[in-house]
Amino acid sequence: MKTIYRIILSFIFLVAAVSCDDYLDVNENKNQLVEVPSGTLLLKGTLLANAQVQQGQLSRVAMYYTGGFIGLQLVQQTQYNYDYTPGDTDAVWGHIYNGILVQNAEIRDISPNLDMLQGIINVNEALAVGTATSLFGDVPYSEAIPENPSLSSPDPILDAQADVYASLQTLLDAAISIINSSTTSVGDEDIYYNGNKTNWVEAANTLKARYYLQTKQYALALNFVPIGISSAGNTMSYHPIGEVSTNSNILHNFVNSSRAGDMTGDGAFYRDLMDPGMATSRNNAKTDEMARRNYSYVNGDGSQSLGIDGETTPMKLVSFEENLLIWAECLLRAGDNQGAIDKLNELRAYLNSGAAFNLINDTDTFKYEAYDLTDFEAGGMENVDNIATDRAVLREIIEERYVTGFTTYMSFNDARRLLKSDSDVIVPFPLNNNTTSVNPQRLLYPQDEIDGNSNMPSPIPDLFSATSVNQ
Amino acid sequence: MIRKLFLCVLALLLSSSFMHAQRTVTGTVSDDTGPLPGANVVVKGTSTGTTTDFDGNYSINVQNNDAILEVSYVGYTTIDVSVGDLSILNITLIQDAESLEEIIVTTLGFKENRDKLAATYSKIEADKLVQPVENKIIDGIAGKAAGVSVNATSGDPGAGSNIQIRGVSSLGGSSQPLIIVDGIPYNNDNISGSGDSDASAGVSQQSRLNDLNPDDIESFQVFKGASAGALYGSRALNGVIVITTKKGKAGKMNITISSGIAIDDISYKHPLQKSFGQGTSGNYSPTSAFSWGDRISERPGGADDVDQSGQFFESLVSDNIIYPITQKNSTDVFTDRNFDDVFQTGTTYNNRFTISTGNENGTFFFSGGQIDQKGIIKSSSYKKTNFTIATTQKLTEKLTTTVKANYIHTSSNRTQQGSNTSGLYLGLLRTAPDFDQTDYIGNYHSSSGAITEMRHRSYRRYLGNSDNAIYNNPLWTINEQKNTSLVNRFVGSAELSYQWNEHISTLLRGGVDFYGDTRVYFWPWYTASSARRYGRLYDETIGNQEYNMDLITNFQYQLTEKLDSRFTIGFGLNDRSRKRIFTEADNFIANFRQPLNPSEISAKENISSSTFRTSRRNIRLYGRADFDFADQFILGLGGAYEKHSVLPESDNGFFYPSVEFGWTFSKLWDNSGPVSFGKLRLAFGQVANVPIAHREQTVFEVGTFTTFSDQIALEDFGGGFQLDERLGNPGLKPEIKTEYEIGIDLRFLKNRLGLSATYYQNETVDVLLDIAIPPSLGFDEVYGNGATIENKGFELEIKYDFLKNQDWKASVGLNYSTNDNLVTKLEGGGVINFTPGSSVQSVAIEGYPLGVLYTQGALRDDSGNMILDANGFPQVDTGGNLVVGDPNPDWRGGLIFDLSYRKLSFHILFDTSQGNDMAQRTRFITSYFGTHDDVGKTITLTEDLTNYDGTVFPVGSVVRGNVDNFGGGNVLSDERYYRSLYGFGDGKLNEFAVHDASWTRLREMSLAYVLDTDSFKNTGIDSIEFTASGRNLVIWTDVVGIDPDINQYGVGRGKGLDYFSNPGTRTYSFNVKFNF
Repeated sequence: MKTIYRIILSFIFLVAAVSCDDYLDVNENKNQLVEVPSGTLLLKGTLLANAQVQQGQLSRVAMYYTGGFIGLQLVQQTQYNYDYTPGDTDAVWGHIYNGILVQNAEIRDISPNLDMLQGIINVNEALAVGTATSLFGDVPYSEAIPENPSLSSPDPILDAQADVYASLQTLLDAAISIINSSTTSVGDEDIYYNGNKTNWVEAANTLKARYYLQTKQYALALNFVPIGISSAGNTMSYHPIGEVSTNSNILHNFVNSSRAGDMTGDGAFYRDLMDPGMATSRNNAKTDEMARRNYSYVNGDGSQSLGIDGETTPMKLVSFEENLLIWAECLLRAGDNQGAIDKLNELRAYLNSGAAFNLINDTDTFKYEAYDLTDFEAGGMENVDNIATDRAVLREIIEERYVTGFTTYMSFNDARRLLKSDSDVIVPFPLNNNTTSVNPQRLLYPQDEIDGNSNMPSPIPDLFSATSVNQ
Repeated sequence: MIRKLFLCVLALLLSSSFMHAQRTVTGTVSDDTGPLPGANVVVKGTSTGTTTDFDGNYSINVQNNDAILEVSYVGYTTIDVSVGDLSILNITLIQDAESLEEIIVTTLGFKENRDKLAATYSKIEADKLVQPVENKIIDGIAGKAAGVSVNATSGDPGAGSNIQIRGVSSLGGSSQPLIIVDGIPYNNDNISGSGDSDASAGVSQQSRLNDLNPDDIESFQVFKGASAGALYGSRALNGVIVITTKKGKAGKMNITISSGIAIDDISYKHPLQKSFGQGTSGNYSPTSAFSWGDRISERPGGADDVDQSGQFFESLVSDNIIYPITQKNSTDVFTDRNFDDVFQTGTTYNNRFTISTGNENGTFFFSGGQIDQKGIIKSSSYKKTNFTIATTQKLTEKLTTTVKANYIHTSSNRTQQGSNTSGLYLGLLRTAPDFDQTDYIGNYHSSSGAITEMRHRSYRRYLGNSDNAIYNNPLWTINEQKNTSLVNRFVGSAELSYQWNEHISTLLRGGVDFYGDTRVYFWPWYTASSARRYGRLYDETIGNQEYNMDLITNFQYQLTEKLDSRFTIGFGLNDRSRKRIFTEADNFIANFRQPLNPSEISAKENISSSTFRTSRRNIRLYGRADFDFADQFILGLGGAYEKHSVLPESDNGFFYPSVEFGWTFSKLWDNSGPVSFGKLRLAFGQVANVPIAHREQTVFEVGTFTTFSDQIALEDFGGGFQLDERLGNPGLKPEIKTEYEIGIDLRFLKNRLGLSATYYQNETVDVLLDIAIPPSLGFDEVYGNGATIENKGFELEIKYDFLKNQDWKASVGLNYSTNDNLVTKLEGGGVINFTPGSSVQSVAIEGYPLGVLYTQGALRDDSGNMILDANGFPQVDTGGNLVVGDPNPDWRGGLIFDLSYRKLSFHILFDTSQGNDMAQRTRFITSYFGTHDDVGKTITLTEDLTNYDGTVFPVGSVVRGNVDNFGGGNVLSDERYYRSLYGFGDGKLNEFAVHDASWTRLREMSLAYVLDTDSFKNTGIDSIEFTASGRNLVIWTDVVGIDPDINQYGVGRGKGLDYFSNPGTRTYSFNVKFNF
């Protein structure tokens, strides 16, 4: 009898023992990786995520709020009418924190020795977080992306906007130093610059200048423009391949999607400003914007091949033009009117070269002759209303930024930056309805963060409350 | 008068001529359905005794030929058998009808007397389970067991049904009970896959439970409580259904052949108006989406005036040429014809056979069947062929094997439905009454003479002059689109049982369950919907496999004179894996009409493919101890310890205990008078649900990036990776459901009146869900344990055999149940939407029952009265969604009546569901479109009335609309009201789609006659059974136009929604069965 028990029990335990833990070891995901061999493999994703942060829906909203585009239907119309909801921010916010920051943390973890890679991701991070803080004000940064996140991770606090800008300057300094001394390469995973050190360093310096400009530390900005992006070829862009929609120009994708017709550039302030036929346009004896106007035309109901929304048209993220314009503005603010005009003229010379944009029609004309100081003096072609010369120059620089920055956040950022101290030079785009008296001063925090983060300010600032650097 | 039943003893074969002083007698104890494991065999007057093994075999030593064996088994009359000179003695026991003791097969596959169990079971007689011709086993449970609700979510052939036992206890994973067939889990998938991932639309997927051949089923039981399911621990959260299948029987070969036909009709049609034409504001327009046009009867009549100078549509269906209409003259109405073009009387042919035979060394069972069903929608079909073989073989006196194999082949074509511009009902029910849909396909000739071939013509594109048909012509849906599924399934099991001695037996059981499902979805060029306009093809293959192994040992001892005991310990392995391969092609390079190879019909960049694999395993050690003291007290202790691959390796083991206690208090009295039996039951148990596989780690994906309809993708930039937005969770725990129940079983009047009542209460903690986390942590969500769900309810079953004599038998059965469900905690406090894509959502919200209907409602004051606008109409509350209804019934009940006279028997079943709400969105939206009968009335005003816009219509006006009173006096609800507050999306009074959907239905009715006159016997036929039956014959409900069981979201947690869902059916069936 006892033998029987022994046989039965030992058989059970034998089977149980030999099979247990190995048998159960099947929870590894069979479809997706749970680790990657090198951080390089994550780089491209972070760059594409940033392309969407810079040129996705929120940049279109920025265009709605600065006379660039008109939202005609559905969500686009709603946003255009300032009925912007927190949910409208969710996608871009996700691309910043998940698309870039958490990936960067992973890259730092798995490939700490790939120094060039480390430098690039820092610049890319600075670009994304700078956009975030400029649009939303205080944002989670120092406590964002904790080491081992879990359900019990504490909610990240929001860093003050000025602190975020300060951190980004530090981050960019570090990036520049790493890139300069880097010995490894990233190659074609870097779809912005193909691993070119000079380009990355220059872009980092222009970004430093951009953020000093945004925080109105113009003198500091002036230190970095000379070592910023030095030629059009060094502009940081998202380069669409254009074979299929999912590797095309982002604006192209939008206007060719099921949302075709929901948005248009027709009838927008921008389009009239550029129209040589309009008395109020910016064209003058030295300037013919016809060709650039046609290039920038977005009718929203299908893209224009070779236009700004053409499938293969690069989308500029940090540009040679921007560097020159920051330079011009900061020189001006330092009292150097002629220096500012010279920088503006450098840009105009580049525009006049015909290399800055595609010609849509062979008959399209353009002209960007150099300005003289006299053009900005009272009664000059750029100062018919007889304002102070330096204000006239600044007004032209801001207007050029408005035009150059089309489809980016530049005009939205300027309109907010200049509201308090320089409202005389703001580009006078109109409001979108009669019930609103002030232009939006920020974009709303995302619903997902509001729902989940107990540190969000209460009440949540509305669309018309300025962020702290612009107060 | 009940006759005492007689005993039957069969002694067969091989008598031994050798007489020893002591010798061994062996044999099998069985009943009329097969062997009885665990029967007691005692040599009378001695202490020698044994029990039969898993296959009913025993072996016992006797002193001499005078020995008498006393054979007993619960629920059967004990008999004494003289051994004589036989060495093999097979014994057949007869069920003790007077005791009405019911035999239950436990989850481990053992037979038990129901009176000796303390948990709640509902047993459904196999012959009552399904009517002979139907193939949906699940629906046969409906209305028959308290606490078990079954909703046939669609009338489509083979479609799955929602089975819910004691409410819903979890938020993710399967919501359906575990199905155990012969001790082995049986796959009951109802998966959508990638090809049908939009749950609001698509087709009705089949339930794999319908693969079972009804003829193979011997018994069918529902184990409702957690204590009964504890042995299946992690898979028993939603209850367990235990099915045993037939084995052959020793003796004469028995053959049955049956053949039947079932006829399906659409059970309810949405009533449509036939008075007003296409258009808006009372004006005809042949391209309008709406039917708010002119009054058809006021047209001049005759043919329409057309413009033959330019474009036209040349039909490929008829000789018709369709020209632009310049003046609508025709008064023809096509509503009924359009409907009849698409629907038909469904037919199901069903032919089956069984062969059963055997001898003392083994048995053999073979069955097969074929079902050929044409659905009520003309293109829908379902075919099933199945074969089963089951054999048992006694290898030695102690070693027995059982092998079963079951092969099933099904093929079907389904119909697109729901929120789907290429669905059937969406186009059909929006079609204007004056549009003739017949010419649905043809060549379009433009004014310039260009010809576009095979254009789709729909009511909004009556000239076929655009690639975009907007909504499908229903004839396009059924004739041009394809949604086929082809399934091959094999289920096999093998058992080896060994009887160590009279107390101990061991069983080794292994099972496999494989199926492969190949699905093709095809939409040709010009199908409505932007994604399908230039063709779309999905080709999906699902391969599923499950392996199961158990090693069980059973010990049985009489510990003292009064204390019986039985111990079971077991060890089990389970391995489930699935692979899906999905290929998608769109933008066909030409107008192909057949689902060819994707690379033939699309350019490379328009083809994509993906593979999904899941794998999970678990190991179980389980045991059960049962004690029976003095036939009065029973105590059952159970427990399972499980380890799971889906749990963190450091903490992957869990223990699920159960305790059952029963006190048969009626034993206290020798003569209890009218009370023949009384038992009090108490049970406690835990069951669980483990996490989804592969959620432990954060994965890398080949990311896509979009902010609003502007996606770019890594795969098109040469590849790369991204950490997913969902954070992995290495700390996952199983959901644990703890249930307590108390019940009483009473029988009166010599067991003719039985009553069973149970109250239960359960709580599931650590319910798994996707929990949103602040995105600034780097991730959007984490799959984790974060919710608590409670269920409590009361169940009552009563059966009264009120008439029982030689010729007449009649009984009435009643069941009643309630279930109160409450989501008591939801981490993050959010809303979990089970019905993505619907304006009225079925959701989980903390503090509400699971599944409540959530949408935009009317603006109300604190006391709940609607705040009306200046014209007396309701306004939309724009402050967010509101809970506007609960699809869970307050109570359900069933009433079963059986009557037989000699060979003629009659069966009828009513069941009811009370207090459940439903969003009748088809009715709501067709009111908006102006096609529903609700909005087709013409009224003469008896007072001045104001419409939604504030226009006053004077008394005596003859207008189209309804007089309503929303609380501010009578108002005129006309086109302005229906097109403003009804409709899609934001700013609509979706709450008004939600109504009470209580129903009572005549679920089943059948009449059967058995012909077995002696004159037959010479022909070799034992008997012929004729059966005529009907299902869903009448439904009493306030729901208009659709069976309230229908659910847009099919099988799952999202309930109470209808949105252009394919209709339900009413079935009549006739069957004849020959027994040889």
